Formats: sequence, C-alpha cells, structure tokens
Amino acid sequence: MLQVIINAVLLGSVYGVMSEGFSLMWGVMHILNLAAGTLIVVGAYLSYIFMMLLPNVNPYFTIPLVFFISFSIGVVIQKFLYNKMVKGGLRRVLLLTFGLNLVITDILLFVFKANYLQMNVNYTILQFKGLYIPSHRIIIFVISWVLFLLTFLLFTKTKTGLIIRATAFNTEAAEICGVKTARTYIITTGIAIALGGVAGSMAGTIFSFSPAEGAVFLAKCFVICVIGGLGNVTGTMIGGLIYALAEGVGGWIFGTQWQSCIGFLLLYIVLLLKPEGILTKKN
Amino acid sequence: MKKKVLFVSLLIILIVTLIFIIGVNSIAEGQKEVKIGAAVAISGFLAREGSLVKEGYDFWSEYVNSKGGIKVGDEYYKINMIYYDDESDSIKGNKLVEKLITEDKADVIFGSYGSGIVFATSAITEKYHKLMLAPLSTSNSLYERGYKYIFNPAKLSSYNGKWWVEYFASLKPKPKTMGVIVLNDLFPLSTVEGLKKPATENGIEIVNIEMFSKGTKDFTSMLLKIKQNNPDIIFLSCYFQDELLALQQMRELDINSKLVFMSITPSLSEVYTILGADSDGIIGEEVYNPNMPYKDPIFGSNKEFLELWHKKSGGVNPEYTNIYGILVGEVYQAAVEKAGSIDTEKVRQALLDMDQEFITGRVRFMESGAPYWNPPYPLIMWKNGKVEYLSPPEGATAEPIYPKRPWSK
Repeated sequence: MLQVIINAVLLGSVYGVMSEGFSLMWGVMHILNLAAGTLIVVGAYLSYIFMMLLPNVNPYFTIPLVFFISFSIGVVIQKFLYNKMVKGGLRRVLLLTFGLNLVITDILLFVFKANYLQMNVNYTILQFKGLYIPSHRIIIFVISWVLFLLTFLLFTKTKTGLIIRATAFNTEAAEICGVKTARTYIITTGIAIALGGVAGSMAGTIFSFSPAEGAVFLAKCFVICVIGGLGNVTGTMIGGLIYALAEGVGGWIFGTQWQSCIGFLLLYIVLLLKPEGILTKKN
Repeated sequence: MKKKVLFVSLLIILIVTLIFIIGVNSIAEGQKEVKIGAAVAISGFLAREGSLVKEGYDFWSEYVNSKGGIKVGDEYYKINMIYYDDESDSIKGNKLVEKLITEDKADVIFGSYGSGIVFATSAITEKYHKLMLAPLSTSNSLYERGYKYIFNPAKLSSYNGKWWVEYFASLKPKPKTMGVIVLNDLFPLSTVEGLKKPATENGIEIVNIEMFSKGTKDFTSMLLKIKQNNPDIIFLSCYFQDELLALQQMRELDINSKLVFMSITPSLSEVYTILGADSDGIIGEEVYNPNMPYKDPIFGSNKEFLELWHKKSGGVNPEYTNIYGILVGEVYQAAVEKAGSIDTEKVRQALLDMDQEFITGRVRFMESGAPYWNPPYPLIMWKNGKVEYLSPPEGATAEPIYPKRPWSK
C-alpha cells in the first residue's frame, strides 16, 4: 500500500501542474478551455523536438524552452481568439475551444502521425525497505512543486499576480481601477498554457503520448479543478494529489478497473459537500 | 475597360477549367470501378493501428490499379478507395459506414481496426446486405450473431489462447503460473477468456487477472498484486500504449518474471525505442512471418511482396496491421476474380468457397465469416534491438531467451 501511495503522490504532482492552467483560465476568465488537454500534449511534443535537436541535452533542461514557447502559444491564442469570446457566453466559448482542440489535434496528427512517442531519460531506481522509487519521478515531483511555488509567489507577491486575482474577483471593478483586462487575460492564458506545456513535457518522460492523449488529460484536469477550486493555485495542486491518491488507493482496494470511476465519484462527493473546492472559501 | 478585360479573362479561364475537369471525369468514367468504402481510425486512441491498416489498404489498391485494376470477368475495374475517419469511435463508425453505403454507393466495406468498432459497424453492413471484410476483428462474439456478410481473415482470439499456452508449456523449465493484465475491452477480454481452458489443460495456473479501464495511467496497484504472487509468466492483454506503460512500470517496480508476453503488436519499434536493452526476451505473437515461403495470387509470393514493400518503405518491414490491410484487399480481389462479378452474393459465395494461400498462409472461411484456424502462427522475440522469429520452425531465426533477464537497474 505504501508503494501505491508514494507512486500516487509522485504522479499527483504532475496532475496538479497539468490542472493549474485549466483552473486559472476557468477561474479568472470563465473559459472552459477544452483545448487544454491537447495543449498539454503540445508541450510533450515540444520537448520531444528538443530531444531530437539536442540529443546530448537532458530533456529536463529543455523545460524552460518549453515554458516560453507554450507561453507564447497561449498569448497568441488569447489575443487572437479567446479575447473575442470572453464575454460571448459559455456556449460560444465551448464551441471555440472545442474547435481549436480538433484543429491542434489534427495538426499534431499530420506532423507526427499517430506514433507513440516518449522522452527517454536515464534513471536509477532508489530502493528503501522494499519500496522502489525511480529517480526520474522524483525529479518531476520536485520540478512540479518548484513550479507551484513560483506560481504561488507570482499570484501572492507580485503586482501582476495581484492584478490577475483582482480581475478574477471582480472584472468591472478592476477595469474601473485602470486594469487592462484584455492584457491581463493574455498574460493569464500565457501562464496557463505554459504550465500545461511543462506538465506535458514532464508526463512525456513517464508515459508515451500521441495526438489522441489530450482527451485523457482534459478529463483529469476537469476533476482536479473542481476538487481544488477554480482559480485556486494551491487547491489545484492539492487536488492533483488527492485525485491521484483516490485513484491509486481505490485501485488497490477495489481493483484498477474502478480507478476512473473512483476519481469521478470523488468529483461527485466534492460537488455535493464543498462545490467551491476544498481550499476555496464560499464566496 | 481594364476591369472588363480582366473579368472576361477570368471567365474564360474558369470555363476552360470546368470543361477540362468534366472532360477528364468523363474519360475516367469510361473505365468501370469498384468502390471500396473504409471508415478507419485515423485519429483517436486507435489512430496508430488504424493508420497502419489504411496504409495496407492503400498499398494493395495502388499496386492493383498500377496493374490495370481488378479483373471482373473480361474487364478490369479500377479500385476507388473512399475513406472516412471514425475517430476510434464506434458510434461515429456506424454513421460513416451508413454514409458509405447509402450516399457513396460503396460496393463493399473494408473494416476498421479492432473488434469493438467492427462489432457495431458490421450491424450496418448486415442491414444493407453489404459485405464487410474486417482486417483484425478477432473477437469470437462477432461471428456468433448469425451474420452472413462479415468476413475476417485473421484467426479468432479464442484460438490464440490454445496455441500460446501450448508454446508456454513446451518451454523448459515449464512455467507453472501466469499473471494477466487485461484492458476492459472486447478483444482483450475475449483473448483472456481463450486462455483459461488451455491453461488448465496444460497445468498452468492463472493466479491473477488484473483488469483496468481505458485512460488508466497508473498501474502500480495492479502490478503490485501480481508481484505478490510472483507468476512465471506475465501476460499483457491490452492495446499497445498500455502494454508499453505496463512494461515500463514493471521495470520501475522491479517486477520480473521468466516470461513476458505481449498479445498485441509486440513488434512495433517503440518497444525497443523506449525499453532499449530491457526489451530483450519480450515475446509476442506476430501474425506475419516474412521468412515463410508462401505463394500469393496477387504478388506472386511472400518474398516478392516483401521486395515491393521494401522498395516503397525504404527497407522497413511491414507491421502486422499493414499486412492484414493488404490481406483483406487480396482476399476480396481473389473472391471477385473467382466470382467474375462484384455482386455481393456471388462474391460472398466465392469467399466461402475460398481455400487459397496468401502472404500470411492458407485462408479459408467458415459459414460465419470467421477463418479456419491455420496454425502455426509466428511468435516473435526482441533481441538486440531486432525482432527475431521463434516459430514456426521453418521460419525461426532465434531461440527464446527464457527465462527473461531481470530488468536493468
């Protein structure tokens, strides 16, 4: 059981980072970004390209590059697409993000075909009292929490973070105070897609990916965001851990075929008992 | 004035283009064609396998068209392949197959990859009395419905179990226990069902059957339960991406066994790309052995087919999904040429009467459309980055690495 918990915690940190971006966009702009899963996969493909171009460089060192490119992608998407739809109502947003998801998936299929890819990283297995912990999972665990910390500091200690939070809290009041909401949204989406891209890059070192993988990631992001609370950076990270633990421990007790079911059951329970999220105060 | 000249020029160009297009089509329409509809998985979770099946269909159709087409009586019919993407979704597949039949007027349907989708889409072809030739739809349940118009040349999953278990039992020292990891889906489940009786008959106890659902990314709990029983064989009955994940997590958790068996697509290159030297000794079943000296009515022989394939692929061997895409085309062509017609009932009868050797060996069909089991089927093993063939003896290139070496640390 302890091995199950350890593996779930290590995996849950990646899930948390994966979901941060989705949560940010939903919480700040009320955009349910159905392309989030596929944009996570784009991060994995970016990392793969760097691995091909720089074969002597450890894939983890390409994470900053993936971050900046994903950020740029987010900026472009928000400026030229989403900003036009932010106040357009849920239906329009869903249609737009759904369409974008299809376009990106097809582009990936055209360029990379449907082959399963993965970043091969050298790792050792640390053994301790019958427990096995691969070193590359520890590395991505550490990277995930460093990213979380940086994001947390951004939102709590910087002016940019304060502006984003103010905009999420009350857009009209923020505009009255001189905040340029369109610009704020662009920065928020840039950060959101960058976090997703890096998460995809890390995930690509522990399991293989293909253009179709986006749907799997999106489903997990959705559940984790609801558990953690929309726009709540800390809550989403904790939500990732809770989700992975629920899947792992639930799979151990009831059987792995129930893992996904347990994850969604958790979603249902949270919606019943604390719909605002586990770490988010009501109103 | 200038605008008028420009307008008239554009109009003339447009008219000439239209005449050209209509003219070319008229010329083309002079040659008869057989329309073959195929809704295949180009996207979705089966995109890898579906794309390879489509490659097989294309290879066959392009080759046959280059030779003038399919001989139907005294004429040659050009093959017109019509493709749609079923997105690995059976509901979408149903709509597309219906479209192919009712709107595109396809004469025959070539199936998608996998049993799940074909289980659904074959109901459509049955409704319209259209033949469906499915490349790799091997779940027994497809052929227990009393359908008349579905045919599949790949052996059924229930046959797999007997053949595989007999091979396991022949190894020395004989393995005594087996742990199974199975995806909760039609084909993997039927494969595992097919293992149970032969395992009991051959004295191999199945100590674990661990099931998981699509989208699972953490196999820790399943693998640890298997580790508790320490089986001699770990049997993977799931699609390729999940097999890869299971193998990697087995390595991370240091779960070793004497034999690791991949039941689906063991020879895809990603096995070696991702596992490296740890892929040595992993065994699986391939459905095609390039070393076998089979005769073939379309390509001449297996050897000649392979030369043509290598010429096109730059020396890369075909995947099993390519092979069965090609085989479906070949079988259909052979049936049409025998029947002397593309009429569904005549072609169906020709398929039922078929007893012929192709690139994969002898092909015969039962009344249900399922193939007769024609062993032996090739077993492969990874060794030093290459796929080696363990069976049949006349096509073998290596001995099994048994027991498999423990994972490197």
